[in-house]
Amino acid sequence: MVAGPLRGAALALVLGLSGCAPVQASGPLNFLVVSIDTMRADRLGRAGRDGRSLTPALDALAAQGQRYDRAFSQANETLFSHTALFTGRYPSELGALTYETFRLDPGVPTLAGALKLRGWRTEGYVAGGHLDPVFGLDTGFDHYQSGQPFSTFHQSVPEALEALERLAEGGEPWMLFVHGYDVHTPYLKPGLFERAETPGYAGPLLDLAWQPLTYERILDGVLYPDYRPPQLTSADGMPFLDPRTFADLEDFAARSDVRRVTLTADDQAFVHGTYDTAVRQADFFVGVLLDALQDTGQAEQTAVIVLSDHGEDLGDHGQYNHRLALYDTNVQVVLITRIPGQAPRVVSDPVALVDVYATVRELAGLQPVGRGRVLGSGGADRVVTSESMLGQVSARSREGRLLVDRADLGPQVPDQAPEGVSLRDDQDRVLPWDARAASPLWLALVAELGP
Amino acid sequence: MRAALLGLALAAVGVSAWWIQRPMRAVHPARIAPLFAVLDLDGDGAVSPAEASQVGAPDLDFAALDLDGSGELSPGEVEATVWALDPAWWVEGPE
Repeated sequence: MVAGPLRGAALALVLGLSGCAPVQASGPLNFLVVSIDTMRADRLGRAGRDGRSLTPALDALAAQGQRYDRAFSQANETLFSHTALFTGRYPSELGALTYETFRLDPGVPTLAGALKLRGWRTEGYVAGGHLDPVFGLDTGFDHYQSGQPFSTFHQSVPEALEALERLAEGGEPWMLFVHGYDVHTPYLKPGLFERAETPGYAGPLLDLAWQPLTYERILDGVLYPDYRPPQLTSADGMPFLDPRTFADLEDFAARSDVRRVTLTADDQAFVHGTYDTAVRQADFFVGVLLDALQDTGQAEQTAVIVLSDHGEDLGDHGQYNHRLALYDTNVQVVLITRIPGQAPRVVSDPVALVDVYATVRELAGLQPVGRGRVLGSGGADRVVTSESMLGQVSARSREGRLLVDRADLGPQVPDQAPEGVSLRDDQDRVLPWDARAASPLWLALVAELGP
Repeated sequence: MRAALLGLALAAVGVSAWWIQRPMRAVHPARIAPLFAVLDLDGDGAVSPAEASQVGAPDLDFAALDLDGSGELSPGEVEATVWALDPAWWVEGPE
C-alpha cells in the first residue's frame, strides 16, 4: 500500500511542476476509466443536426485534459480490445481470438490486479456481453458487476454513482471502470429520441430497426431482411454473432432469389442519426459521472480516462459493424485523459489503447511494463498495431497504414502486394504498393505480431 | 375567522395545484440541456406534443412521459425518460 501510492503521488507532483498545470494531487491517485463501446473517434466534437456538438461533456473534459487525436485500439471488437486494455498485452499473446474458447488466464497480471495488490480498491461496472465474467476480464477486481447482456450506461452508471459515493467515504485509493454499449448496434433508443436527428422520418427502418440484428443485414445500402446471421456459442453457452457474418452476408447478397430493401438517403440518415443520438446519450452519462466525481470531492485526486474500445464502420465500407476489417473507422478510438498536474494538450502522434495500461501503472508508482508506452512520453516514430478475429493485422504510423492478412506476414517485404494487403495514407486511402514505404510498417508487424 | 380559514384553505389549494403543476426539475440540468435542445425544435423551453411527434417514435405515448400533466415536457421529464430506458429492450438475440 505504501510504496506504490507514494511513488504515484511524487510522480503526479513532478508532472505537475513540469506541465505548469494548476491542480496537484496529494497522495495516491484514484483512476476513473470509462469505456464507451463502439464510439467512433470522429464523433468526438462533431456537430449534430442542431449544429451543436454531440459530445459537450467529452469536449469539456478534453479541454481540461489531454486529447489523443490518433489513438488506435489493438482489436476491432470489444472482448479483445478490453483484453489489451486490461493486460497491457496483445490479445493474441493470451489466446486464440475466438469467442468459443477465449478466457483470460487468471494468472495473467491485470491492471486491476496490480492496483489491488498495492492497496487500491478496484471495481468494475460493465454492460455484460463480451465483458461478461465468463471471459475472465473480471480478474483483479474487488467487485465486478456485469449487467444484462449488451446493456448500456442506463444500467452501469447508476451503480457507478453509488460506488463513487461509497468510495469517497472509504479512504483508500480506488480504480473504477465503467462501461456501456449505448453506441453499439442497434443504435436506436426507443421512445422520445427515436428520430431526434431526423425529425419526421417515416421510412421502412422505423419498423425494421426494432427487430434484432437489422443493421447487421445491411450491405452497400441494401437491407436483406431474410438474412440470418450465423451464431457462435462461447465456452459457457453464451450466443454471439459470428464475426464471419459480414463475409457471409456478401455471399447472401450475391444471390438472386432474396428480398432486398434498398435504403434511400433518408433511410441511411436515420441510421446515422440513431447512432449520433446514442453518442449524445452516452455523453450525458459520462457528464453525470464527472459531475459526481466533482460533487464527492474526488476530482482533484482522480485521473480520468475516457475511451472507446473500437469504432464502427457506419456504411463507410458497406456494412454497419466493426469486425469485418481493420479500417480506421473500426480501430481509431476516442481517448481522453485528465490527469491531475498535467497541462491540457492535444496529442497528434499515434498512441495505442494498450498505452493506458502503462500510463496508469506509472501514475500508480509501478513499473510501466507491457506492450504500451506511457501516454505523453513522445512517439512521433510510433507504429501501433491491431489485430482481428478474422486473421487480419494492421500497423499505423504518422505517415500511413498497412493492412495485411497475418498468414502473409514474413521477414521480407514483398515486391508485389499479396491479395488483400493494402498500403494506405494517413487518411486510410489506398495507395499503390510501394515496398519501401511499406517497409517500416511491415517490419513492425513482423516484430510485434508475426508468426 | 371563517373567512380567514377559507382564505387559508384556498391558498393551500392554490399552492398544492402549483406544486403539482410546476415543471418537473431536472436532476442534472446542465447535462440534460444539450439533449433537451435537440428535441425542443422551436426553442421555447418545452417539448410540445407536436415536437415529440416529430422527434420521437410515431406511436409515442406522450401522456406517459408528461409526468406533471402540463401538456408539454420539461427538461426534468426528458431526463426522466433518459434514465428510464430499459437497458435490455433490444436484447433478443446474440450481438
